[in-house]
Amino acid sequence: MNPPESNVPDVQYPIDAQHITRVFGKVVATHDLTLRVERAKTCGFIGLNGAGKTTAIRMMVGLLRPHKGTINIMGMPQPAQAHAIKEFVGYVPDRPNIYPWMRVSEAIEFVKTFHRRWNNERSAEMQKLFKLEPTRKVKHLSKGQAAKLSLLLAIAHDPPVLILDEPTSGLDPLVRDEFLEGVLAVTAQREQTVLFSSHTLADVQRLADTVAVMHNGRLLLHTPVDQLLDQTKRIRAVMEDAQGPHEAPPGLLFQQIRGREWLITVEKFSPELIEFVRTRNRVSHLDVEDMSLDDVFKDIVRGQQEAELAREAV
Amino acid sequence: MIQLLKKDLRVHRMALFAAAALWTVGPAITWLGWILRGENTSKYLGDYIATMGFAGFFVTVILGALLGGDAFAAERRDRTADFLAMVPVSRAKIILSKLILSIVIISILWAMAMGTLILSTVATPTEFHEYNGNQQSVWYPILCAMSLTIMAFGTAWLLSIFLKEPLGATILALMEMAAIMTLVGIYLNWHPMPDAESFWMFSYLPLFVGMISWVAGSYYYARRVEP
Repeated sequence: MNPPESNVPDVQYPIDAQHITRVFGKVVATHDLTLRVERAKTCGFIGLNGAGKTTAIRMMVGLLRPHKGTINIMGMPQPAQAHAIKEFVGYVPDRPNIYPWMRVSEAIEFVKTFHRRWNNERSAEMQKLFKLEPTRKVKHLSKGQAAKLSLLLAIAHDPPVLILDEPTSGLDPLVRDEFLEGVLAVTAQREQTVLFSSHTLADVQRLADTVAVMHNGRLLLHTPVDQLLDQTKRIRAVMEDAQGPHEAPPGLLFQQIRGREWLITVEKFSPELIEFVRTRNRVSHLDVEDMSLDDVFKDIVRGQQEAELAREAV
Repeated sequence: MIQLLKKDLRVHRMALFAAAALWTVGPAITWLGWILRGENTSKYLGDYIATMGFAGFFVTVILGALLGGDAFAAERRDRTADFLAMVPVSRAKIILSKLILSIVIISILWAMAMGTLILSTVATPTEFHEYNGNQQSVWYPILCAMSLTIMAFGTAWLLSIFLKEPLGATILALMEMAAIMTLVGIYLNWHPMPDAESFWMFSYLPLFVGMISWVAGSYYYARRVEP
């Protein structure tokens, strides 16, 4: 049976969170987070442990109520219309939480019963692709296979929105690749909107159109990956003497001084910045380096941490 | 709904096994006493079977607490509550499935206990006629045990919605039940009432507390976002 397509809402931003805040006791897990993911785009959601990614995701999928702010998924308010939204969202958690006593076929049958849009062909196709034995019990599946079953159950009803919360954590590189191939196979065929949280930034760089960086419950930036990598550069300056730099360039994300070497990470790089560094400081040599997403992320977070330390000191 | 019922039967299997094992303790001890005392004559058989029946009713109280405590806390402890929450099934159906299962199990055990009591009357019909003149001694403890079962189930159900540990919900519910019944006992000691009135205190009050707890818990679970 093919799933009904006509009732899928046509919205520009299938994932739209506005100023959401969630507090646990005295801990502010997410603070005033605004994140919109455009239709058919994949957003990589990155941040250190405890940055607030999982809390934000749980609010988006309707497992947690925001204390402030609004969330719209496929144009429907979450959690007010959580039940209707579930038809349009596939969610893969960091640790698969399927009933361990179920067999693979039972788990599929169980979830299928409740989805009006269940796609049998897609389900069979994914089962074959992931080599999931129908008779094997969930508790006897390897970590990778459990993650794949979780993905199958999340996408077999062809949801226009897919939310993955560190789905590859703890998987070995080969299985991780197979899992990501599965995600790519699905998202490439259909115009799915994906929010993908991960600590493996190479995966994010490979899958994502945009990247959102969380730190201490706040969203530091949300920008296209290409634009971020094009504009963020590391300037390696060698100083004439050991007196250190005089003036850092505007748009500084992070700087590090190692002897006479001065490493500067800047956002919105332009040739004028090189001129700025050269004229305002006693620089003998200067290089500009491209950065990987991993390095950009680390420098953004380090810069934030230093700024926070400086604020605390004041 | 069938899928939910099948799932619930499997999820709460351990609670059912524990309850079944517990249920057999009363009859086992009674039989053992009958055999060890060597009074294996038909004269006493009816008494022993009747004791088993009453024990069955009171053990069902603990079973009610076990089932109620297991209802939501077990899924939260096993982290499968999130899985269920992401399936497009309404909270009302989830509640209904767990309730149906609990009602069926408790009814079966009540029927077994009642069947045991009926068996005792068949075993010793003469002695049953002696009881027959004083129906209170038969029906009051039974109705009281049934009300206590509903109270234990309802309060454990309510606690299960907040707690992660089913055993914690079960024990707290039984403690709460014991505390309330002790207070009732103390009150009746100070203000003695005729048997019939004190019986209503022991049966209506637990029934009321149990049902209110169940309704409050179910309403809260249906309304809240967290699984």
